[in-house]
Amino acid sequence: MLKLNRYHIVLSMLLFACNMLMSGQDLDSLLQGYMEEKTEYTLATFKATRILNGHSIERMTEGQMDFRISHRFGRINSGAYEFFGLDQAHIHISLEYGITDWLMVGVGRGTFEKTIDGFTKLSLLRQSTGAKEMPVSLSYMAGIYMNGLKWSDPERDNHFYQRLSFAHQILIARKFSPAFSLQITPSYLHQNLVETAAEPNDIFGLGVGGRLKLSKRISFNAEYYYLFKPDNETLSTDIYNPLSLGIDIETGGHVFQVILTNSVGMRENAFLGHTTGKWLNGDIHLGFNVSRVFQLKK
Amino acid sequence: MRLRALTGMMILALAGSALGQGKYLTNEGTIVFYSHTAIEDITAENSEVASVIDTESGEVAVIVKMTDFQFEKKLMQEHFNENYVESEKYPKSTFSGLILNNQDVDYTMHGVHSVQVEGALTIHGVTNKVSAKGSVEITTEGIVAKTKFMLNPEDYGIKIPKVVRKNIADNMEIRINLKHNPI
Repeated sequence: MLKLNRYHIVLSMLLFACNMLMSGQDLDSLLQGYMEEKTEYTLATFKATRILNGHSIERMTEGQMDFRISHRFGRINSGAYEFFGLDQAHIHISLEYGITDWLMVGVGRGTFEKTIDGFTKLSLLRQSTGAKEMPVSLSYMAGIYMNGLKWSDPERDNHFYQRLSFAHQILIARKFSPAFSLQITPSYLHQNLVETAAEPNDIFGLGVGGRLKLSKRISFNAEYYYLFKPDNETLSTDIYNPLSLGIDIETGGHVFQVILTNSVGMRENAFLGHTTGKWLNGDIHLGFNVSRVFQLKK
Repeated sequence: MRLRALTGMMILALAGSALGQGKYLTNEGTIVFYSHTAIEDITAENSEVASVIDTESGEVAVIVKMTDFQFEKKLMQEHFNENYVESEKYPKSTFSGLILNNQDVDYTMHGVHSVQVEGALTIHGVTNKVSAKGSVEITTEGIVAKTKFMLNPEDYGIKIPKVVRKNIADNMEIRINLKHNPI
């Protein structure tokens, strides 16, 4: 208490002295003191709701709808016959919507395993400065994925629940400067049915993603997931850690993302559980995401 | 935080006592900007503008926080702050100027007086000398200052990319309404 008093006395004296010195014209500083300190929420940690394949902490605010088309070509190393992958196409389309400023939902359809998927994303913390300071933004994402392929073995006792996979992610991001943002993404994928008994039903992953702004409307993005999974020698299909590199280009209501990735799948069930490409082998897919945002509610 | 609030109050108290009479303040003033093109109309409103008038000298000062501009489309608001005015780098715009015909305004008489204001306007880190016609209305509560003028974002180093050039007007209309109360 004593400290506080002393501080205030000294400050008062200083201020008084300053006031005497000011020729009584310094309206600007008068105003500065009069402005209320408010909470400033950090804007645009990432440009889109995806860093590249995986979610970013960005969300649709209330009444915003995002129509997304994602596309991956085949593998670049597939040779001239496949026109270096460009002959093949893998697509995912989705509609995503902000119910409130902190809750968004989405549904989608992808060619990978003819998946129908849905997700919800909750924005729990938002990075801010000013009256309320928060060093990071934190969101939680839960996804459900339904494999839509015909049963590989119709004779077997097949159940609907075997088609389902579930993913949970905690997204923690910080915008360090207007040009640089970083996110870490602890992830968990559960698949009700896997190919063989050797395959794990549960896979944990730790994602790291970031963006580096190259100009006002272009940024370089990178995203990597380290998977905690059994050795490839014990699996029937080799699985690798997904690594994606890309460029974000923003034009008004559109965000284009041009991507190089070793994952052909564009949702969590696919890139966490089924990334069979290896960068060093040249199993790289060129692809893009297009996002178009509509303001449905004003 | 409490310390800071206390300090703020002390600044106010001290400033008030030391600067004396003749100053009118607000921190709830309104600035609306309006961009009209054949393709799109864009408006944004900021109703947390801080402003002060010194009736004795005719000096005026205005401070605006750029992130307080509210757009209908939140995405547009994000683009405005991130790509156009770069609010993280230049969080505030300021105006500091003079009512040229201040001696003609009788601040003791209720009613509307037209004024000519001139001064330095700083947006996006760029300062330009501007001049505009406006009015001050003396009421029982205080002084209502109003003005309307045109502003070209390019004059303030705000570049508008070609793809949206047709959506954003060359000249924006700025409407300002500041209801000042005596200190």
